[in-house]
Amino acid sequence: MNCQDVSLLLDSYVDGEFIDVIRVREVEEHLKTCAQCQHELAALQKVRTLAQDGATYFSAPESLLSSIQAIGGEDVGPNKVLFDWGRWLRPAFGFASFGLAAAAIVFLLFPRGQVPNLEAEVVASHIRSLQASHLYDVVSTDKHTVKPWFQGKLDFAPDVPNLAADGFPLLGGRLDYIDHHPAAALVYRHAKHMINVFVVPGGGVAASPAPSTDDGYHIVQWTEHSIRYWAVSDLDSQTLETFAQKFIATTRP
Amino acid sequence: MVLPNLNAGYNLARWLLRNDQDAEDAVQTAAVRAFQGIESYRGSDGKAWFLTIVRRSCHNLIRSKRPATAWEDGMEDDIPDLNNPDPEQFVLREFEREQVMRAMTSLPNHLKEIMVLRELEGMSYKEIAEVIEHPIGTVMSRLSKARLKLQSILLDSDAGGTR
Repeated sequence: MNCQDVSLLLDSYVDGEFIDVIRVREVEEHLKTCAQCQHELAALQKVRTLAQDGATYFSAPESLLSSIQAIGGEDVGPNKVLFDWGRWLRPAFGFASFGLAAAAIVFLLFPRGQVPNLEAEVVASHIRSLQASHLYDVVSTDKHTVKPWFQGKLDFAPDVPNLAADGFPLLGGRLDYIDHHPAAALVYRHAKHMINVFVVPGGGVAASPAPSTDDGYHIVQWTEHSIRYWAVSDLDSQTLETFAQKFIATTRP
Repeated sequence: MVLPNLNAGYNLARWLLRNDQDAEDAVQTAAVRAFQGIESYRGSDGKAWFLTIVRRSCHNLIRSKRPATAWEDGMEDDIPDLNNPDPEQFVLREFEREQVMRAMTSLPNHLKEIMVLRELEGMSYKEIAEVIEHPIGTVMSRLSKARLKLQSILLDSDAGGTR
């Protein structure tokens, strides 16, 4: 190995980017006896050190962090609303005054973080599925593949409507865990938006679709035949409600 | 993938665009595109993926603001004059930092971005190749060029080597 060869390999050498141990040894052998190349190596290392120590690492300013959070709705904790009073005042819970009193009691009993907030849970699950690129364990636009896939993994097989004709193609499904229950997550797409539909059997009074939001995401939840459903997406609430209605329409016998 | 890599994204954008406002704009645009295009994320390195989008966003911003500027253009007005500044006027450390900053800033973007990703983000050649959307060979040759250029600006000319 001559100086010219070594010269070409010096960057890879200092960056530890060789996979070939033999090359590393050849470079080192040459360096042992060649002052010129040692000189070059020293200069290279000096420049690296200067760049690493001297160049500023620009961290994102607060203003950028908050505006990104507003766009993406990722929850980073400290800014979360303390308690969603609106949830307790909705008609679904009956008397508004009773709801308020109950809310007050619950608030006292459960310090922040322990209030059973399923909306936050489904939104968190939705975000996680996008973050880890773990949207589906079974990839199929065919409901006849997705539905049986759940059998044997869950003690129920959810209805999996095919809504491609309405602009909501099915992408696949995966297992999830909501409100202490194994759940099915069905993944649909509309334009560039993902929709997770969480399906949790095992109870619940029939309830027609109710919209809500959490952390910038829209949710529509309903209960039918003792199965609870949450559709979560960053889609606008109107489109999401349309989706929910179409979903329900196909699952009705 | 966006929030955990926000600092990396902003750092890259700030180096490429050279001012805070443009960098914030570019990162915001990138974040929106990342959130919308999220289905195309297939488990490759999240950081490299987001930085690819940030870099493209910077590219577009430069093209729209200064259409005559090519990515490979140097910042002509920024080439530092390093003929015997008197180091005793500054704390040596501060002086070195300033020199490094000016030298790095003067690099054309196609060399600068390699230095940022390699030396400030510690990314591997393979990851860098993914971000700049060029082959590894290109990464290696540009990195070498970038370092040589910095050497010639920052170090004595006789230590620069003849590579």
